[in-house]
Amino acid sequence: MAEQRKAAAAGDHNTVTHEPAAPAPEPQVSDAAKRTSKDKRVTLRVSHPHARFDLSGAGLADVTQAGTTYSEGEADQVKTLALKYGVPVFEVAPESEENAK
Amino acid sequence: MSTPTGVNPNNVVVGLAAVWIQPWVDGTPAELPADTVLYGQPWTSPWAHLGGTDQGWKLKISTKTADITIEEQSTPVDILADGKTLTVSGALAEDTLQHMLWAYGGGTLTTVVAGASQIGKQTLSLQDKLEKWALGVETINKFGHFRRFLIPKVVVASDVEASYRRAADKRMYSFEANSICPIEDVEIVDMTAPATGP
Repeated sequence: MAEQRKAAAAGDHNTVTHEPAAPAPEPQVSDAAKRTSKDKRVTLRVSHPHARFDLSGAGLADVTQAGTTYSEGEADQVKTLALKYGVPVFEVAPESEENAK
Repeated sequence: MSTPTGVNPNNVVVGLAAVWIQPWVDGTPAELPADTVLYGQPWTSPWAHLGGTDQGWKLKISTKTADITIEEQSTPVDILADGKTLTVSGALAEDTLQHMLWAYGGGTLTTVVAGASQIGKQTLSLQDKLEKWALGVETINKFGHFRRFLIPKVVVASDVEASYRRAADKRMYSFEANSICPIEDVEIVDMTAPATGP
């Protein structure tokens, strides 16, 4: 490599060898990962002193202290409503969801 | 006339304090924000700001002493600390159910969003039990950086008398938090200088 760099710096391009690049292998994606990226689920919860964030008026499941799982789009709606109504909602980290299982 | 020896006017500091609160959780002690959160920046959840006050905050540490005396001496031969109380007090000047809950010392809030034939509402349920909280206090120090107090376990036991006046004054809720943790658990941190590099 050092010789190639020296040759390139000296303008002697003929000494630089170009091997045809092998096509990059397709990244291996598990079915579970494909499913996750396609319909990401988000778990949101409220914490004390908030007992419940009742979203029936908006056609969504309530956010509870135990945590409720939403699709990504629903979770965005919930977060917007939470800001509007001043209710702090927390996203449960995926690893802690795993731990909970 | 020059400043007398030993007097440093730069050590005289004036400034407000902000008080943050979070529920006390057994086994998960509250922590101050990271050092990278500078003075005046918001503290992240679960910390919540207690909001505006009538006349700022007071942080008081009182020491109750016991004199040890002997008949043969008119002055005590020793004075021992019999008790120490730490209180943070102020009058909350923001009138929401969340502020009432903090002032009343506990309760639960249920929030309902508005929808078709459904009004938006929030319900505060009070309770007899005094809940435990953690408090953080932030103020500016002589270096122009933060001074932070962490009081990891308090109960709020206030005499709350809200006045509903036509125009004479705002509604206020007295707030007095009493520390119930060992005094050694209380931390006071002064930032003296920023980091010198990344």
